[in-house]
Amino acid sequence: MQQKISEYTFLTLISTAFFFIWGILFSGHINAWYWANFFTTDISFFNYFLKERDLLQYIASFLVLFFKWNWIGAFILTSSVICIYLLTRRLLRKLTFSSNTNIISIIPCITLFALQIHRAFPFRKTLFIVCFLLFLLIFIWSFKNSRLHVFISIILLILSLWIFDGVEKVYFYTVCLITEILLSKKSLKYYLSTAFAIFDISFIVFFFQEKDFLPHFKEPFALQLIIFPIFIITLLFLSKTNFKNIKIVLCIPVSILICFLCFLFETKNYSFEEQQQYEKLFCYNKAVISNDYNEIINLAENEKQKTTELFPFVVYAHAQQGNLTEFLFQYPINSKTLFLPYALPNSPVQTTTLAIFFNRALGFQNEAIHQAFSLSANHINGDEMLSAYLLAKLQTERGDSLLAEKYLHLMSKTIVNNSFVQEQRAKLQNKEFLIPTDSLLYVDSPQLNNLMSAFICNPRNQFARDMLLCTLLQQREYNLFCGFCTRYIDSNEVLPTLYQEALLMAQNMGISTIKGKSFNIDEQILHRWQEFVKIFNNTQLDNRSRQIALRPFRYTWWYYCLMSSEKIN
Amino acid sequence: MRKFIICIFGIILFACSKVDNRVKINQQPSIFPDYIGVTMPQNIAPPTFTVKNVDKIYAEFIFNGEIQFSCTGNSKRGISIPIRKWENLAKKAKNSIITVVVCTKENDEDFWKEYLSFNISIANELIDGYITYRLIKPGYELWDRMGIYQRNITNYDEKAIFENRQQESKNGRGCINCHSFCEYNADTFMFHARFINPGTTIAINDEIKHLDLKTEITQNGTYPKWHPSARYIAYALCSTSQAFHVYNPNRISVYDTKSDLMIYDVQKKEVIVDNRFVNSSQLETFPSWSPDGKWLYFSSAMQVGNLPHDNDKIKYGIYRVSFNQETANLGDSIECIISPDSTNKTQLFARISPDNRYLLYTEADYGTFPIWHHEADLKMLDLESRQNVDTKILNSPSVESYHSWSSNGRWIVFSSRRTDRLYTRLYLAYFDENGHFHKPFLLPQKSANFDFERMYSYNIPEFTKGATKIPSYKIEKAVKSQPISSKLRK
Repeated sequence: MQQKISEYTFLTLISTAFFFIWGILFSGHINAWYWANFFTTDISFFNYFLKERDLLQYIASFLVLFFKWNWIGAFILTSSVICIYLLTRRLLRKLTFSSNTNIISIIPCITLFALQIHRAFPFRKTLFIVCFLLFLLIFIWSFKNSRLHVFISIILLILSLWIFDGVEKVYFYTVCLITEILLSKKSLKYYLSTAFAIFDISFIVFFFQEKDFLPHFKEPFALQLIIFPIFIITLLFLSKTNFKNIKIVLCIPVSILICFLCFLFETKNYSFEEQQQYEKLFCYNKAVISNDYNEIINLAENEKQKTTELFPFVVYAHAQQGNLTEFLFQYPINSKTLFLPYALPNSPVQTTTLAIFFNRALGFQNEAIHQAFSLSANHINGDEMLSAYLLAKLQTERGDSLLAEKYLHLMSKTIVNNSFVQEQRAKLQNKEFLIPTDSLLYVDSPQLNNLMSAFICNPRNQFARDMLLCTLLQQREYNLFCGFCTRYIDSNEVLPTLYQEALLMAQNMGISTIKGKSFNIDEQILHRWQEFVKIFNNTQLDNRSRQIALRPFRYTWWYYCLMSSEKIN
Repeated sequence: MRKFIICIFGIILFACSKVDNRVKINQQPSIFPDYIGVTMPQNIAPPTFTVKNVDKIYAEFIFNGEIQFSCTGNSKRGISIPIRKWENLAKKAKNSIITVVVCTKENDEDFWKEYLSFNISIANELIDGYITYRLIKPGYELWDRMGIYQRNITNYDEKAIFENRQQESKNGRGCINCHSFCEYNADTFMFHARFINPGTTIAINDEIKHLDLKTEITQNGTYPKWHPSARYIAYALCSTSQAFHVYNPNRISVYDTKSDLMIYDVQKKEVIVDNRFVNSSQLETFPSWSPDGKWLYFSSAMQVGNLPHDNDKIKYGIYRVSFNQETANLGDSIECIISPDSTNKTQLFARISPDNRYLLYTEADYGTFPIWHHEADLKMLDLESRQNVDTKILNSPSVESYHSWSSNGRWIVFSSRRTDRLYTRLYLAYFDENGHFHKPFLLPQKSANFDFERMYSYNIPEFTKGATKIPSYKIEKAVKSQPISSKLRK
């Protein structure tokens, strides 16, 4: 007994630690609580459950809430894995009448362990496997009495109709049928009639209860569930062998191989690269939500491949830190524009969230609120925690206390958001609002017009100013850049190097929109400009040599502007 | 066990007991929803209410000087009024007044605060038993979960007529909108489906058809209105766009780049167009029939060039044209009922009272989509005297928009955003025989906080006399069927 307890304690501790470390290092499954369904502790969520008729989703949503605290999340995941281990072992003992099932029982547990660390493996599916094994155990246990068996079977049938979805029901009935055949010593006629009855029920379920049966097969992880029935059957077959026999040596690798093949089969159309990218975006997104700009920049610096998807995150982080100008020509992607994220319907959550923060920072309050709505609306289950969280935040910022209170009231009914609710209510009380600005129209395109609107609405908005001026420079709208600087920038203001470079060149080029206005230009920049001009105008140098000679200036506006073939407006 | 039963009885007796030790407060209670001084029909669900930030609430309902019943509750869920007791009281108090006394108590106090009593008048006339509306999230293009629902207003039951998840496909869920009932008949109605299984679904009793109203010159219609004969449906043909304000509380600017009118003949399956109303320089929208079926009312405005920036220059007026239901022809002359030049505002959603005398409409500063205009208010014109009727009592600083008359013309339902400035809620108001509106009230819900907590807006409230009996699966089957194409008649 003591040995068993220590065995479980050891397993629990190791697994919890593993999940916790995984949570910290890879921000995967543990952060799923952000996207949990909105679980409230009152009747409203129960109403949702009644409408969706998905008890497992209900329980999963509830448990996933606790993932907010990494240790508890890790412990929940571990508990489910341990449950699966114990239930599998118990099941195998019932099926094989052998007590040597410890080693073999750990294999599905390890498989699930591996799957669970993947954020895309929904926690609901894990719960399904626990329920599946539990039901099967009860089903097998009831064999000892035929009347009890009939009674239990009916109860399980009703429960499974209520708890499992279409595909899950089929698996459960199939495994029950196989078990029935293996454990009953009845005639073939009996087996056939049982098979017919069970499949008949499952077909009834498909046609009358599951209207959307077919789409389930298209879900990326639907086939994953095949692993388990196949696995159980394999184990069943192999477990009948004497464990002391040499065959047992082959048993475990064969099981693992089967599991691996199932996994491969399931994911044959599945892009791991895409998934990796998705995970990566997830980490960036988390940093955006928590305003951790250094984290974004660090993550970007450690990337081996700089991709366009990550570019707006980095732009956002640098702009928020006021370093956008220094960063502008250093990111290896030669993006023509700085890219304003615009979330289309059904965009991934990450794109939408970034778009919300971008619009919020630019001052497009209404657009940000719209995107926050779409965050919940674009997902079939809707009502995500993140959506309510952002709506409460945005409405608090704009001082709309009635609406803010509506979302805060809802969030206060959850069990994990009290500190956030208190913080926002204090802001409302202290009237820490954004100051309303002019009412300009935000139109989807062109983006440059929107940036101009954002800047004109509130010239004190540093983020909007940098986004606009940098975009103008990148798009080589030099006249417009100079025009905005002349109108909105004070002569004595200490400007970022990039603007100084651009303005210095404009003064030398005699750009009309800048005439009559002087700017604060650093001596060093002036000196570097003179050096640049000297090399640039050296007629003795051919193009290649000039490029090499100007290499120390490669991050300057002058280099970007003059060493590229495109003309300046 | 015995002790337990005694305890339970003790608690029940305590809960039912009268509230003693009262301290009178010389002010009326601040209740939500505000039912103070309203006029209600006798066949309405009990008006549950709450008082914010108190621990206990107690309310007495008094008629003819006698307490009829009392209720208790708390801030969170409000008081719950038993339906049967309320029904009996409302019947007794027909054409009379119910007085409500509200007391509140804090846990740490040993006395109750008794506020000044308030009255609820019970009107003589009944209200139609059902209201149908669409529930949708108040975004601008969000239809993850939406549907057309029917509420029994004599109790709190809400039933889905059709939900968009019933037409879900691998491409997602579509949008369903613009439901319209014919002559308050719950089984003669129509609605549109967009994006998934697009088309117009028309149900006439048990016969349901999915139609494609597109012809060589018309697109799918919107803003439908049934002719009282049940043979025709008038539609607007709109190309709608939207732009977002950066900060403005009127978050969004909705505008039509094109907007025309058409009539659909349900019997002949013909789309009827009149060239006068298919004209790019003039925008026509929100058609509506007079209850006698002789007039087609609509809103119309001159198109402007620079949209969306000049959207604030588009001002709709209300016009009417005669209609011959035998020939389905529109009359020669178009009569201006309310000119935008005289008001410098936009007038939309013309709805004629069942006695053909009053024109109730929505007025906003500009444009075609008043739900996003905080200044939008309900206005009414007496068509006999051509005088404005005072509607101040209906309006609030927030939006008042879509509205419908009850079949007896004594009640109106309208949508308003006054509760929280974003989520549209349904308000009912009594219109007495002297031509005066009474103070509107929020449609009663089972829990007083229900509308505060519901994250959906109510759209297009329409009265019906009964409940829709057509099962949802039959509608679903029709929506998923191949749409029947329509002929064009010029």
